[in-house]
Amino acid sequence: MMSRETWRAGTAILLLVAALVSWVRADYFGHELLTQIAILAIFAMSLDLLAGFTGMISLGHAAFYGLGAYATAAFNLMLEWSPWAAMAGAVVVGAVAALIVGSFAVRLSGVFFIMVTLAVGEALHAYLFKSRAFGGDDGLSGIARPDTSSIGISFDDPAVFSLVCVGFACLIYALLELVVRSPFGRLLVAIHLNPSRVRALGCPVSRYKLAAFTLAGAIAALAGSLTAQHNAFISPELLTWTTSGEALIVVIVGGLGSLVGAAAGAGVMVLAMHHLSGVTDYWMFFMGLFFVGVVLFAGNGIYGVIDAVRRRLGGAAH
Amino acid sequence: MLRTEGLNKSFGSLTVTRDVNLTLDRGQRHALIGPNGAGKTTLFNLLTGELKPDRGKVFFGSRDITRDTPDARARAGIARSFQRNNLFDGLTVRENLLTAITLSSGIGHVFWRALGKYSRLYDRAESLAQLVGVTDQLDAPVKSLSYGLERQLEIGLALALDPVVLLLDEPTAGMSPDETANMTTMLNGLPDDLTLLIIEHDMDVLFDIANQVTVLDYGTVLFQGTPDEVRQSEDVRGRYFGAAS
Ligand SMILES: Nc1ncnc2c1ncn2[C@@H]1O[C@H](COP(=O)(O)OP(=O)(O)O)[C@@H](O)[C@H]1O
Ligand SMILES: [Mg+2]
Repeated sequence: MMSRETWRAGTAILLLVAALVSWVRADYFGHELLTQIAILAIFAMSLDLLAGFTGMISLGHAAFYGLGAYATAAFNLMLEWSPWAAMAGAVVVGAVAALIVGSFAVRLSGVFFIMVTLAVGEALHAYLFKSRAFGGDDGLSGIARPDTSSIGISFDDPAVFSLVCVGFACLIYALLELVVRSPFGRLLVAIHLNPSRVRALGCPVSRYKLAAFTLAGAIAALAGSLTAQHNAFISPELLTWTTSGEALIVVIVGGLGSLVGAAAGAGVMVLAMHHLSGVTDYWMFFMGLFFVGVVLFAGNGIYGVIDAVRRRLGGAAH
Repeated sequence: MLRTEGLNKSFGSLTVTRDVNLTLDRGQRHALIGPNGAGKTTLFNLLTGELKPDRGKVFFGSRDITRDTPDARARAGIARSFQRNNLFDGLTVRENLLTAITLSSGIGHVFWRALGKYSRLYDRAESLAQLVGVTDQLDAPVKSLSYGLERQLEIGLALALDPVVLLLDEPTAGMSPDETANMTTMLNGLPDDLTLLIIEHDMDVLFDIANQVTVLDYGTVLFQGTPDEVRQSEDVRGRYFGAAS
């Protein structure tokens, strides 16, 4: 039977081909959608590292996404850093914030972890909603994209920016795939399955969970930074718990613990939203129905179905 | 090697460990016996750090490890198996062993290189599987194993740590006579300098393996001595071998 890893990589390549084909065929709106999908894929994959692999269901992951967006705006607009520097700075801010939040949150498990991440996210949202410096509930606008006129292309061109975002999504996928295949990544899965046993085998469980939480926070901040540049605008809405909840839905629809599933889930989510919202005002209702259907019937989401094909092909070898 | 000093532990009003002084010398094969509820597993949990004592100390070598976490103690060389199989359900036998070996080889933090590239870890997993008799099941999901094989893997995980001190909580419980005999042979074949503390109800296994015995009763050390001394002790016979068996 083909190994789980090979199958996953194959699926990822197919997904990338689909993205590139859509890129070639896309009009202006097509590029907008592709950009949204790529950014949501980055955000969802970072959450999958937590929820799918390590078993940490966070309902406050949008806090790091939003922080990345706000940090990008602050560095770019207030400190007048270049867009690249602002992006790098945003990733550092996301990592540091996740390190701080994680240092107490990772010790909790189950519903307590969910509640603390939710509370932190809501607190940050409430702060930014009131904060004058960051534009309160109006947010801030005018965030710049990197200036690459020297090499003859413009990031302000939607076709260029969508390709850049797809490129970032590929990079993040490759990075996270490396992590989950590494000894460290295998231990994250073991922590998920049986924390007390890995501890008895010598694993400093909290430290490993904190490392994963920090990495996920940094990547979420990168997604936030790209969103800020994409929209040239940020608002506290980026940090609401519904943003976290949507990302969690994307990961579950895509298939927990598969990375590429989260990316595929992002595609399904953005396209479904786009098409359904054009047809009916009750699109959220239908999305909800779809979600319930996936959870009830598809086992482990989209990737669960894809992996079932692999096992079917492998025959009764098991 | 491993030593306790005046160890006490209560759950509410129930005192489960009472002034326990236990010394395990290097290479000793020490059996811990006593009726159900005597506090044997609790004593294990105090030695491995899963529980903290109300009073008393645990020393490893000359170091006071009373406040050390379970993972720090495991890294220092104290490994244990559990009374109830405590495995990674959802993984295969090989993946279970690799998880333990990853930790004992000190590469758990490596996130930039695929686990698949460490071929010596895979070799080690196979030799461990051979040692505990699960070679034919290496790629089988743990959930598909028989109880006895799960039990053998449970011991395999502890051995994967290359421990200095090995604590086994009723390793042969629920095993068939054949499996028990294999387990006994395997345990007798462990390196001479390994220190073993084993909770065991099967007296044949015990007399075959142990050179020291501690009898625990209501959390108190009732008797300590060689297997022969234990056999001859009226006190132990009355309390333990008497009506119970
Ligand atoms: N975590 C716990 N909380 C409360 N009581 C416990 C706990 N663990 C063990 N006990 C009680 O302590 C006593 C000793 O248990 P244990 O150490 O498992 O005995 P043994 O392993 O010798 O059979 C039993 O009466 C058990 O019910
Ligand atoms: Mg017990």
